[in-house]
Amino acid sequence: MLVVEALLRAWRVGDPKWRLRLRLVPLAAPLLLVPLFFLLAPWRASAWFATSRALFAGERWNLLRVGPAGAGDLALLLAAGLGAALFLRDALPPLIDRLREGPDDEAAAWLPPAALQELVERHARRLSIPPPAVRVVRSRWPVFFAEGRRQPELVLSPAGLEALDARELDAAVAHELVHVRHGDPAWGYALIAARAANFFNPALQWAARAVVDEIERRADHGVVEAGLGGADALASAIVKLFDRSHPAPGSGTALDRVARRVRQVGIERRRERLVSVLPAAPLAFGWLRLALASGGLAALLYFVV
Amino acid sequence: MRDLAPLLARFVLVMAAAAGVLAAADRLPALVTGTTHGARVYRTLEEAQASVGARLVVPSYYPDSLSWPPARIEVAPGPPMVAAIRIAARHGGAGEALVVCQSIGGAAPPPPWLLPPLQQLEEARVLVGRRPARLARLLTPGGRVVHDLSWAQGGRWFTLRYAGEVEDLLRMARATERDAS
Repeated sequence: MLVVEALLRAWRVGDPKWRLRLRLVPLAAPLLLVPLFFLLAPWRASAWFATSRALFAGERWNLLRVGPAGAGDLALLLAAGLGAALFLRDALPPLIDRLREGPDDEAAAWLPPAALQELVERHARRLSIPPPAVRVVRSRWPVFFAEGRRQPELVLSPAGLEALDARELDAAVAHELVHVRHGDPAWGYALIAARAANFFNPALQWAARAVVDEIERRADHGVVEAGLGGADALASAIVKLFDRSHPAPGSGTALDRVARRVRQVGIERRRERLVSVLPAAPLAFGWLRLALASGGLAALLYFVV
Repeated sequence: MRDLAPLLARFVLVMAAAAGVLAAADRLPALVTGTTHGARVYRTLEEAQASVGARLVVPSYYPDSLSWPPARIEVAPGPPMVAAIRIAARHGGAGEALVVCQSIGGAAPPPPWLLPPLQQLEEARVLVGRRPARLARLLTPGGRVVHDLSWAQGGRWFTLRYAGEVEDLLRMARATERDAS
């Protein structure tokens, strides 16, 4: 994760498409390489490998004792707890909301305004995609996202519509339709499955969040590049939706406050990128960089046991 | 092609930095504890045996004062590897009551970090089974008297350090010698 972060900075990769591809490397590495090493390089589990070949062996930290436990085992346990907390924090709330709310008659009766339908159709035409259906859900929080793989839908709540002015709504709808064009809702399902399979791995949880950020960055870039909405309007919509969908600063548990702060920093960075940064130049040697990053990370992981 | 060189140079720099950080983190515990880099710690005898790929001999005779299973098993890197099985006293007490050290794949005494050298009070030559052995009476920095009994057998070097009666130590050594034969 940190290696790819360092490579993105060292290579000054700005192209959202290549940033996303490179971000997928640390996500795919534990999913593919761990079973592959287990099958093709069983000697990595031997004392000989750990003693004389490994660059880093976690068990060596067991030489340090923390009470009755080895520091290596303890760190592994804490990392697993952190990974599970990161996963549950993102996966549980939507699941609980869905179970709690059940069928939503009131929201189903709330039809999207004709102007919104027209806006969706206009942006869909410009993006050369079939216009997705618009579904309104009841929620006290602003909801604004695209979901569905084969029949994508734009899902929103009345609070989401009320939060935005006309320019912001225009840019926000365009942003969601760019997600639809790239098939991003399917990425969402794949990411949650990868996170569930490695719920104990905090690095993978972090890598998955970084991939989500890159997907958002690509959609932001797509809106501005295609002239579907102004960067200022999109930035303003992003900030408004974030502010209204999160509890006020200082409220909630310590973990909530930390999570809010981290996300707020991310939103602020995204806003700054939208309003101040010039369009990213296409990346030269993209596939070579991807191969180097993948090979380099695989080589490092081979020597870590 | 002119852009390729800085691209590769930056890649090598990042990978070298990552490898350096990993190697430094790997050496830190040994540096802090004063042990050799490459030393390993196991919780169970089975785990240690599976990892070193050899049977670790433990005495089949134990005085009642010792607890089981071992509190900790440490393996110093080789060649030859040296394993130290640390066994605590049944009713607590300071430190371990028995340490069974044995080299694997060659006869070599345990390194000082695995079995620290102590002030020697007396030394005697004894027999463990039919094998000549060295029995040393030692004083720990805490003022406790312990005994070391060492002998070579079948390509292994055994050292038993025991804080207890010499007769019990000799019985454990004879049991170890029989089990290792």
